Amino acid sequence: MKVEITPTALIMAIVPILAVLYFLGLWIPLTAVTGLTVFFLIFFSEIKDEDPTFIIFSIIAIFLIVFVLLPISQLFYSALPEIERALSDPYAVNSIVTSISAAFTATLIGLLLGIPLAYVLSRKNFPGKSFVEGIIDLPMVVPHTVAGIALLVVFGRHGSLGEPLGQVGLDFVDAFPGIVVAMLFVSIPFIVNQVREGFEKVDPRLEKVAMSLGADRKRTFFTISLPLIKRNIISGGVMGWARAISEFGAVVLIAYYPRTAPVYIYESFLRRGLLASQPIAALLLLVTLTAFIILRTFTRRLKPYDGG
Amino acid sequence: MMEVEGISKEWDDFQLKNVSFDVERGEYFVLLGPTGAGKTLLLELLAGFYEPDEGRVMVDDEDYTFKEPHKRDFAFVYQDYMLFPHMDVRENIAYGLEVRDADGIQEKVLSIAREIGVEDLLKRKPRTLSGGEQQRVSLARALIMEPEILLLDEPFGSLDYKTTEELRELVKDIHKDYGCTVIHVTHDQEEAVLMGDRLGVMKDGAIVQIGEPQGIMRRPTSKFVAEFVGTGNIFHGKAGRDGDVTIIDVDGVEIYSTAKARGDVTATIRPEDIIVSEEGFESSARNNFKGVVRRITDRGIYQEVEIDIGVPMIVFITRQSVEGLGLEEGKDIYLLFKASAVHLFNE
Repeated sequence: MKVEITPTALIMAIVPILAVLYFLGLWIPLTAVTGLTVFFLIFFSEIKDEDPTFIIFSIIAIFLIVFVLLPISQLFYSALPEIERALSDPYAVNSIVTSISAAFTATLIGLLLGIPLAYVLSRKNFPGKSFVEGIIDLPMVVPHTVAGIALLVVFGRHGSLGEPLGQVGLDFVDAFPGIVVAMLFVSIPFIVNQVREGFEKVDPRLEKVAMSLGADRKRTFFTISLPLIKRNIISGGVMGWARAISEFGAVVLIAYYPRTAPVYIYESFLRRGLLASQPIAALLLLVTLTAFIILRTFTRRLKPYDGG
Repeated sequence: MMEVEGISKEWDDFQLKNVSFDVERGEYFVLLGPTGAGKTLLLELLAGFYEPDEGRVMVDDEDYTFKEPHKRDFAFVYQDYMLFPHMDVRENIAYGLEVRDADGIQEKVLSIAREIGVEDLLKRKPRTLSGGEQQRVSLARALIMEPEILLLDEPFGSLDYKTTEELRELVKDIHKDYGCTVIHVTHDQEEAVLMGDRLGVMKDGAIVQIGEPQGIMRRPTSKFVAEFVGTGNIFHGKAGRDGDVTIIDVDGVEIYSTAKARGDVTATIRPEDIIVSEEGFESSARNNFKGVVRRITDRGIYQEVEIDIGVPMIVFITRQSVEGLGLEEGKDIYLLFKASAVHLFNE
């Protein structure tokens, strides 16, 4: 009798094994089982393909997956039992709240300014367009500490923008707006490019039809173009937010205080060592992962509008 | 009502060169041309999506050249429907009226949906509809605006034969019932002849000939039009005058024409203007030839017969005629056509 192995059955069988290995702290076997599971999933989910290229590629792929998974799961393993310590540390909790709200503010500003820019880039050709595109991508290639220093030059107490804005009461150095500015800087490319990709998939002829039916540009944008890229706005926001909350280099230079979670983790690592910094690191990871998973599932649910 | 005066435009790989034509109120005007002729660019320019580099567009003596598209009372229908994918059929049809804050939107949507035959689809999303259904919705969405001019860009280009037939009928009925002016772009000459009151034939961004379908088919003014419209028999020869007739020497075969021309000419004779007979006849017609049947092709509603009279001549006749005449390959047969059926133009 031939037993059919379905992906679901495979996962159901593997998860308890993984859980046992995890709680026993057997990292090498855990890694091996995870790798093999991924390997089998690839081969059972599709029509069976014995092509050696695929087999070899799948084996290679497992290394990367394990490389990401191993540190994160091991961190959880050692830190989760002590996560209460982080939760009862008001500094830790505050730093996470600061991180979340600053990243949220930066993402919101990024979307508000990024959506118009993305739309212009997707619809208009103009001299110097590739230059503008280069500028948008720049934050991805600038080392974060360099970005922090550059931002400090502009937004510092005697900076070109920092000084006049300081006079009207908007301080950046060691202040919440400073964190937002640093986070915005590094998350711009993710937001703009995601949103732009969405606009590019919206057929300009849909907009033309709307205009021929009496809608002006503005109305066309808000009733046709924008609703059609809901998915991209959310995924751009999620990626921008994730990028923003994980930023350390640029943030620490412009605003050490109020401490964001990465800054607080770094500080406790320096002062009290690896063990002390782990619970708060695990807590931050838990919060971001939860947000990430929720938003991702939510975006998946939204059906893409692929026309016809 | 619409006067297009010397429009020129360069955009991307396409261009329009000094395009001029008029469309009367209530007229069905077809722009016919091969892919890349600039038909769609012209239509989109008329809709106001582009501004011309030169020339102007007048509608009832008002200058529309730079009028924004949403202020024009035109409606546009694309080949691939362009239904708003995030709205259901009802919302799609209602869109234009919603924009204008019109009264009684739901009733109007329902009544147009009934007329176009999409009343059962109102709650469906566009992606769940067939091509024909989508194009019906697209037409309903345009017609509910009661547009001054309906612009159709290859409206049946993505549909199967049967659906195309149905929708052609529908659009013809709509044109009759609403009396709206239609400008219809197509590359299909059969469609152009079937639908159009008048045609404008386009090539490389220019209009090369304008006229009624029959006129264009019988009297093409260039080889391009003759070939594209499918005149059938196109010959090159040398023309000389003999009294009030022109004699064209085509590879030794002399063809008579009432048209006036000299020197190197192209002669066209429509296949349906040629009569086939078992015996040579005495008639006023100057063009009597004896030939040999080379090939008989079944074209469905008619038979295409190629007869060699020194040059190959294509003739369209009915199946009954083929059987009645006992036509078969190799059979000798006589051809007859009027000198007035031979159209000439200088190269």
